[in-house]
Amino acid sequence: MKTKLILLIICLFHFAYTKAQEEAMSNAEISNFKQTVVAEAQKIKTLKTDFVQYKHLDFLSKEITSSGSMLLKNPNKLLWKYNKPIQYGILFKDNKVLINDQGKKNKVDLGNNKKFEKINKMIIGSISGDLFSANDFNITFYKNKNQRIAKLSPKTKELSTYIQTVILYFNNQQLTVSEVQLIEPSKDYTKIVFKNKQINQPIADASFSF
Amino acid sequence: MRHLAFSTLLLLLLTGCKVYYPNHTQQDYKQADTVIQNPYFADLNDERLYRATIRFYKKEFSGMFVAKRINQQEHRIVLTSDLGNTFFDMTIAKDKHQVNYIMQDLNKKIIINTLVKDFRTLTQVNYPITYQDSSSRQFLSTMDGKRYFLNLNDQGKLVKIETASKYKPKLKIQLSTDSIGKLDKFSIQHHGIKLQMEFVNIPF
Repeated sequence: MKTKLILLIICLFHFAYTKAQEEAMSNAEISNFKQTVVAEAQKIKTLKTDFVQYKHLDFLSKEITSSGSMLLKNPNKLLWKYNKPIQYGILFKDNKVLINDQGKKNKVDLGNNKKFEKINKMIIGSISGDLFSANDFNITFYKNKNQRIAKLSPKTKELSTYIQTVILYFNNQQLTVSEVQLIEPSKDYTKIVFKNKQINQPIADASFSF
Repeated sequence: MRHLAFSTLLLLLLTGCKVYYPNHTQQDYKQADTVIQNPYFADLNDERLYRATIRFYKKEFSGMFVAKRINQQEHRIVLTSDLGNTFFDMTIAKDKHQVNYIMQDLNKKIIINTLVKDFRTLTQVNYPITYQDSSSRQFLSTMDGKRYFLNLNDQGKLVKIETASKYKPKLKIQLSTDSIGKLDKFSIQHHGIKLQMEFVNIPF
């Protein structure tokens, strides 16, 4: 009985270990993966997805969860629309940033500066995978049983004071990002999980307004 | 003549520099020896999320705010943007503080000191009282040369903390609770600088 129990525990641990185990991609795998992701990203004209955002702060027992939808129309139109816990929208359109905070529109926001915009461009790039072609990051590639993973570290000091690492997860052979993890210098992170992704479905320009 | 001018100036100065008491005069206060507890950030397990709106002169920004008591001496104070990136993250104790992270744009001594003072006043658990007014609703606590006026409402709940130097009000914190006595809304308003912060509890 005792032996069986030990075996079971070993099996469980082995399973958990295998599941979490990441290994580095080979050079051929990296080249192939980059090529297909970038090619796919270039085909994206529109993207519509729901998302759940988890803000992890180490000292809290649970994560701060927000959710909503995101619309992207290339070039230059991006809308993040939060429905929970509050109604909040941030719209990047034609190099302008507009905010709708529970009905209050067009505020001057601290986020409305170039650095923050850079971070947001990074988020768009993360979703489409377009970041691979950017020169701002050192990128390493990994894989596990179900996912392909790209870890990006900013090369510039300016960006690395905000973000230490961006991790992009591509689930089950998908060529667009399923999950983004933005790790801050303090090791706290924001994880955004995308659901119900629709690529190249028509989105009216009018959707990019408040 | 010179003596008269000096006396007049002295008189003007003395009458102009009245010791500051909100809504009262010094005579309305009598000595007291008690402690008022600020219960809102006193519980070690309490985790509440607030939506923050901060106005600084003409700039306005908003985000998610958390203040949690992490041990007997310290509180952790964090403000993040709605998109998740941290604006600031500080650990504040009675006599010291530590900046765990602060966004480059906010990383200025004057901003950090202001935030530390404000959130220390907000989260301080015990206020030793030396004077109270005749209605026993307003209390005066004096610590490190600073004066803290604490107001209780008819139900004995702490609804306002005001800090003042000897002659001038500095900061006003207004607090309001929900039906179970948890802090539902609060605001921090400065008198000297145009800085106002409002916080509303949101589900977590």
